[in-house]
Amino acid sequence: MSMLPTRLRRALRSPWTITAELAGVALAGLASTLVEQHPGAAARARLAAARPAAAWLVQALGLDRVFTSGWFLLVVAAAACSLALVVAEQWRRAVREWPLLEEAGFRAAPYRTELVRPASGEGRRVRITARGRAAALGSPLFHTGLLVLLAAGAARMLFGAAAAREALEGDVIGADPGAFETQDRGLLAAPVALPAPVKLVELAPSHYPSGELLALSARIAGPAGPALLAVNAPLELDGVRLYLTQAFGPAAILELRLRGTATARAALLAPADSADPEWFGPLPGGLDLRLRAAAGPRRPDAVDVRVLSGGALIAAARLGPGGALALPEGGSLALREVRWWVRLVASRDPSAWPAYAGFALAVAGLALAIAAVRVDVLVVAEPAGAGERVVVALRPRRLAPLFAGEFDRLVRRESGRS
Amino acid sequence: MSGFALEVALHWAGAALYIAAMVLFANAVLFGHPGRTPVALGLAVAGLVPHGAAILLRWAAVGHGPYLLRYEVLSANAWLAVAALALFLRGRPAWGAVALVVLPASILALGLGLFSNDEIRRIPPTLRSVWLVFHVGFAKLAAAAFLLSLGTAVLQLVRARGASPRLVERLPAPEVLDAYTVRFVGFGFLFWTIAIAAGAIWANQSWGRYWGWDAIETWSLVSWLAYGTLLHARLFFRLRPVPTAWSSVAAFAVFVLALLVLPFLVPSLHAAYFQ
Ligand code: HEM
Repeated sequence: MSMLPTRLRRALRSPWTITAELAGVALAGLASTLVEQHPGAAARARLAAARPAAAWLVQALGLDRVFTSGWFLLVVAAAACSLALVVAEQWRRAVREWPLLEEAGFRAAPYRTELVRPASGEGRRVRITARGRAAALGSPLFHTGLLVLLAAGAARMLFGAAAAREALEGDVIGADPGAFETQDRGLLAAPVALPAPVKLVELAPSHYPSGELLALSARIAGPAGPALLAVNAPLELDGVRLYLTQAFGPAAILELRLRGTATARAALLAPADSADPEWFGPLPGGLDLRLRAAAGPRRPDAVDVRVLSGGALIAAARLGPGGALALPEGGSLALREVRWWVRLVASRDPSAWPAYAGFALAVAGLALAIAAVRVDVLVVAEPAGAGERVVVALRPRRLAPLFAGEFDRLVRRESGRS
Repeated sequence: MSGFALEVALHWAGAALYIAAMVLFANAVLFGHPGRTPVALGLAVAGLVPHGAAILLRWAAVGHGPYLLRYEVLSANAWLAVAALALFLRGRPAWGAVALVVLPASILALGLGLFSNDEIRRIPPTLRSVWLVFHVGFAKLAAAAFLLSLGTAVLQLVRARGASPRLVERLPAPEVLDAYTVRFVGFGFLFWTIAIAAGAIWANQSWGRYWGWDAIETWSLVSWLAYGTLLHARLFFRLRPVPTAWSSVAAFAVFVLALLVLPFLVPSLHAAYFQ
């Protein structure tokens, strides 16, 4: 930071700049909830047609991808520089101000009085004490924590990556990035791949008596043998964390026979408008298929199958595993089996522990800065005539009006009236 | 009486005692009967008993703490706010006027809760985490501290706007009101920081990322920044008591928006909460 030109340093350290930096981050947050983020081409075109001025503004300021827009990154970078300057300055000041005050330091004390008490026979005595000195470490610790958090955020943008896919019981998730359907990664991050293949053996949902989902876990077979994966209990696999999400449902494994060829496919049923899991989709030959299973804690043992042609129902049946439905134009649709499917997420985030450290520093610093107040106390007693003149001063570093009671007690004690 | 009917009856008993306490606080402050403040405080504390019992009954019935549905959340927030008020007023009878802001807000929250969805909803697996306790617990403490800061800020503004001299006489001095506003904002800010940090750690356990710019996360950050800006402005621009009071009212508005209004308005991963 010391290499920065003085004018730039002064600008970055100015209260107005710091306030603007905080406001900039807050405004980006507001924009992200008011403007749809990462809209498709159709949504963009709709906005351009309905409100051309708004669309222009969104485009010009990158408001529809605000957290990667140039101005937001610039604000965050400026905030990081301001913070670095402030943190260095705050630590220096904390060290400088750590020692006890000199007598002269109490001239500005908001509480100060003189009293006379009976002589003690001793000469001039000066007693200077301080409590709550750790309060001075609060703000530097807090802002250091913020700086660490910003660094962690930057590391996540560059090196963090997450991948996701749906998996059926029995599926093996290979040890290559292609095993996932989506990859969402930082600018310099390699795609996520498991270090070794993992098999999803069985999914075990459990329910409350009311039917709501209580817990979801999965038995898996991984590189280190069998293991349990559960919602809220990810598995650490050599730098990659594997998560079980709560998105799951029955999967119907179907076999379609049309004109002598058999094709197998899995349809993943998910809760739609009704609470019962459903699936809609096209079949070859211009047909549409609708599947529905009864919601429940157990893997459904039957699936309602409806085949439509141009919106008209042409065949329907409730099929159990092994059951088949003849299609009117020849061919058949068979239900081979029903398994559970679940959405898995794998992530690699080298910034998680630094971020936790940042949180810990920020919270510890704030606790000191808020809960502790440094209070310096001066008591000078010196012989004066037949008695002793005592100067009592109390200097809280913050929130001075709250220390009137403490000062009263101190004065009473020193005057022997406690 | 069924369990639920008893729960509602206890809630109403709590609300009735809070209303009585509020009327007595108003009488004590506005008409200069300071001797009635301790009685009013006693009524508010008495209200905490049936209200607390109602919350515990609900807890036992639904099998989780008061943090899922709006009914549970608002009721527990109101309880904590009244408890924080009682703690603050103990031994500070001169501060009875703060109750005239905190009690109506708590009664309003309790009322809104009682008239909202009272169905029993079990907590889903993603919410079953120890971090939830820290996240929600500290968010509630933050709400209570910020509400107290709103109380002292509003009194500051009442004082500055030329309320009747006799009322002004009964309010604490501006610099003391200011110091308490900043103190409450400080503690609220600390609790809010812990709530956000615990939420981030929990999100990493549950969703695979500690920060994802989800709408509710983002607004929590915005409200946190609003309070942070207020604390900075105090130091940087030597903000005087009245602008400090206005700023804390504004920051409180952003906080309420983030915590209690936004969950209705925007699609969010936090959608299970506050239905
Ligand atoms: C751009 C980044 C930031 C910079 C450069 C910065 C700078 C400063 C400075 C110079 C002080 C005064 C310290 C002193 O006099 O010892 C301060 C205090 C403080 N800042 Fe920041 N800050 C930043 C971000 C934040 C953020 C994001 C928050 C929280 C939302 C925050 C909360 C605080 C608090 C709570 C205090 C102490 C206030 C008090 O003691 O009453 N700061 N900051």
